[in-house]
Amino acid sequence: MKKGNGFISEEYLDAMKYLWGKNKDISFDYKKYTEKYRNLSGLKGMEFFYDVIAERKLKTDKPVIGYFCNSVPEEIIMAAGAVPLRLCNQDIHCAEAGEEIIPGDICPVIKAICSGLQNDIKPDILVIPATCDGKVKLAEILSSAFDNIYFIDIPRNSDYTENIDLWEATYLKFYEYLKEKFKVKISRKELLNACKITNERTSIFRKIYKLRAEKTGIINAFDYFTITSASFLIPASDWTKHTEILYNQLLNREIKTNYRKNLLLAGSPIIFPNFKLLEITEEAGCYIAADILCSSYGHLFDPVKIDEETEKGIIRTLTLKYIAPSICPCFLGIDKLINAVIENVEKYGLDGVIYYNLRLCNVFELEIPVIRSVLKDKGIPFLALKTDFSREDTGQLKTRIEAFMEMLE
Amino acid sequence: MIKAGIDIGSVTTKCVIVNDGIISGKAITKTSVNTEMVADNVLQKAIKEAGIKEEEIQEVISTGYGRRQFKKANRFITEISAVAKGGYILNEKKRCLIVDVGGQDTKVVEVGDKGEVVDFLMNDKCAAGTGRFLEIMADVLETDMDGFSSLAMSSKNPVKINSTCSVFAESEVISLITSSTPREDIAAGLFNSIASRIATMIRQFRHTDRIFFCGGGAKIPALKSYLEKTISQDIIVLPEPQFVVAYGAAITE
Ligand code: SF4
Ligand code: SF4
Repeated sequence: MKKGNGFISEEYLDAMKYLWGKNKDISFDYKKYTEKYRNLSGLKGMEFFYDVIAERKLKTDKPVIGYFCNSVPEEIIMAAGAVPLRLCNQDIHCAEAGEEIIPGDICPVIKAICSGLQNDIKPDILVIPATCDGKVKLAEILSSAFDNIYFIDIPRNSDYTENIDLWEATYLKFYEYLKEKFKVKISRKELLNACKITNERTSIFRKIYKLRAEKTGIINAFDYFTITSASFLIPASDWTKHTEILYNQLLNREIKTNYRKNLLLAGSPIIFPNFKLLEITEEAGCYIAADILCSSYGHLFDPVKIDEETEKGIIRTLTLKYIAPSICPCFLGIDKLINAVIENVEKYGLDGVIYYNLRLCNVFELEIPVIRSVLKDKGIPFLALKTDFSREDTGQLKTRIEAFMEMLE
Repeated sequence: MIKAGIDIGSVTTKCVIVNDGIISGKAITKTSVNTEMVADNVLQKAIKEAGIKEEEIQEVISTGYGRRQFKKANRFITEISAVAKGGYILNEKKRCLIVDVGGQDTKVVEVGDKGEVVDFLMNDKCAAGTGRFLEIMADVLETDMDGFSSLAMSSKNPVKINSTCSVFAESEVISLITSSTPREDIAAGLFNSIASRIATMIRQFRHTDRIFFCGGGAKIPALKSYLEKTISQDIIVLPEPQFVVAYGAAITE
């Protein structure tokens, strides 16, 4: 995107730059915050992940490319010799600070983006895809103050049979942009290697995902969503290595559980430290046995299936990895979301579905009536909860979740 | 067997004592900061009415927003399950939809053939669509709830009120008053606005042929009448509507 339009006041730009640079002053003490969850399970393999979350530091000498959402192809970034860093943030302090430049009834994830950058990392490039309206506008607003904002203009339909060519074209453009930017030639080998790295990550993630679904209580929701949140912040291969260690510990773990029901969590993403809902579900004896959130399942579940090892062929299959399974509500394709819900519930014999609707996120709220009615036909219990990052509605949420549990019993 | 159900709501606390399922005593009082004390007071009052001794009560089941704050309770259930139990027994054990308009929340619960909760909805976290909204509006119109209700019932020409948020509705009402809109038409407009909010919740359910009404809101004639008009269907107010939840808790097995 072009930088600067000349119409934005200096004052506004300064506020933005301030927030961008001073995240440390805004955010609270993550270390203290992680302790309470860390101590709950006491799993040794979790230490690494809680540390990652607490420190929020990316140790690398490579260029860093910050991005939002699930539809930015990480493999292309990696092949270009950079490290992808997913910046989606759900810290209430950042959202409040962001009010200064994005006030009004806007989704708090958008507000938090403005200030939600990691403590010590300044991305060299920031990539924003055309997902929800908030992201699109954000790209525009930020590009008035910063260089190197790259906007991926993906179309609104995620049906690959119709739209793969259009998606692929936007990825190819991004690919060319990176080559030009970093003055690199990306070879087939590098692309293949990047795919191998994310595929390994997918493979261990699937193991954990399956284990969690099949063994009630094997990992609590805090630990699980901490490892998925950590996957945003560190190189994929590091994440894979430490998740394998954790997985092996889980395999030998003795569990006694107080969980009363096994549920699927769907809806808006959940990223540390936005664990309010998880605290309530855990307390109510409700085991999150599976989820289809874009911050965990959407981010880590799907592999790249390379069949043709040419440069073009690889980009094509990469595109397929992102478009085909996409259940992000910003795109047309609610049928895929519904299938994912039903498939998980049936495969793992789950008792019901909780749908997390982040307040002011319209795309998720729009889907509720449709999902509700489809699940009703199937006889699958469904509870939609609308809330934000604040804590004042904890009592009301508790009542709803407890009532839902009573209904299931 | 003697059991007590206590419903600690955000505005009032209710207690019902049942002896083999039959109500033998009940009491209601305003909830205050000291939930525990209020709950105990209301329990004592109900005990007195029932003419029993506290030791005779075999189980105390507490429900409602403050359910966990009552130490004497042997068990807690949510007001959703409680209202379903109470409503089911009071309507001869048939499948139904129960609308409960309380002080700070409104809930709609679908109850199945066996008395089980099939599905439920609760209003969003603000006061729109709850009893609290009506109380604030009665205040703005300088009347009490009875006066507010009669005003609304006498209107021939309800105005359209656009806001359901109590803050915005208040200023809308004030500007209507200053522009000399008849008070009864404003009152009617307000009942229409809350009724349409509740109706939206009702429409999300499949089985809506038998609708029962309870909670403090069910005692307001205008609310019943405007709700019936909005959904073009009769609704039946359960006996002692404010006690249905406490009763449901008391008869929980
Ligand atoms: S749901 Fe879609 S738009 Fe929202 S954060 Fe996830 S991938 Fe991005
Ligand atoms: S939560 Fe919703 S509105 Fe907010 S950034 Fe994600 S998709 Fe957009």
